[in-house]
Amino acid sequence: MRASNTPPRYGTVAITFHWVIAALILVNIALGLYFADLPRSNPIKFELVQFHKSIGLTVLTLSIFRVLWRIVNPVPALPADMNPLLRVVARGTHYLLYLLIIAIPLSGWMLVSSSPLGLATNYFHLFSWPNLWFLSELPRTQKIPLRDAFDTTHVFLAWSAIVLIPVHLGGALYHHFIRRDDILKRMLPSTTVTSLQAAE
Amino acid sequence: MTIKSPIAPLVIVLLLTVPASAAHWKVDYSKSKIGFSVNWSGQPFSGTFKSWRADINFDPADLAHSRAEVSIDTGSETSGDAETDEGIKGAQGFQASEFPTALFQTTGFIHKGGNDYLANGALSVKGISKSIALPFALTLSGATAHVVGKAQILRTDFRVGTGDWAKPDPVAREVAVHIDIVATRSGP
Repeated sequence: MRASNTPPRYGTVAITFHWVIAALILVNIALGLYFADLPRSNPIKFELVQFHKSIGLTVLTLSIFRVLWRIVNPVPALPADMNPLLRVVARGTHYLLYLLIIAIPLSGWMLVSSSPLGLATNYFHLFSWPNLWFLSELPRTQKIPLRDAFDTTHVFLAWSAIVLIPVHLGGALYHHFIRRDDILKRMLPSTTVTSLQAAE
Repeated sequence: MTIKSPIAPLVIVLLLTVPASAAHWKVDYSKSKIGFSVNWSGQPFSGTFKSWRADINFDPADLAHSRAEVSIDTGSETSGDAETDEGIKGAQGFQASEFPTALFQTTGFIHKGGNDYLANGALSVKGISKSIALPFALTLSGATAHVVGKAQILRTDFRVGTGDWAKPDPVAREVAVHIDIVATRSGP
């Protein structure tokens, strides 16, 4: 299998980006939902939040490279006989997910940076990941409303992903089990993809 | 049996009660305030405690028999921002769920001259007790006393701020505890 995308299938780089980011996002959604209501009197909360931030910043970094890779690497086409409306839904979902894998961690980083608590992220206990200076250096009174706004944004975007991921997953399963085409298989490593040479 | 007489416990209680001879003062909590200030992210930060009690027996002419005891509900800390307060009261801060009370008990008073006094005492926070000095100014007018004081302490002496929060950044280790108490003489 090739590293870059080919007309019938995704290459190993795109596949790795896809599944690593997918796994990290699922872990982070679960963590976020779990610790949201956990009181700070619980000592585990601090560690969970630090872990969530470390994962999120990893997603952000990977996603930036992933989008760059996507720009220089044309993706395999959708089946030519696909319903035009479903094509729009499929591609629209893809673009929104690309947006979200950048916007969710970025809004989280902005949320952390504007927190009056002012603590930098301890990235997997390896090093201190800095806060965004243009937010962290603001006076406390200006930080609080920004923190609240980024908090709302971060939660809204995360819920958007929680809604969009099943749409994306449903589409993949629809292709695999109902249309019985290679759409899902071409995002899986070590599968043989035969059809789908058609241009979009 | 070590207690030989049935009135012995009563005698002990009386003996313990007698030394409080300095005047007792009733605190006007609506006019009084206990709080702290600290440098946080290079900016001044302050919080107050909404719930505390002070038991004060004080006579400028009889400092030897003067004493004060202040108990503060650490869970009543407020700065006006819920996230910050949760952190301060949380597991790495006051740990208020486990250590709900901070206690200051004087061990002696010194008159520094004019209105200025010094209260030496023990401050207990999170189960750790340290000697601290609380300089204060006392203004007496009739039966009313106004006390304004500030004690400099190190929060890390009391494990307030553990883990990443023990570092001097973003929260400085030097904390000033401020008291501003208005009280009226209520007894002998």
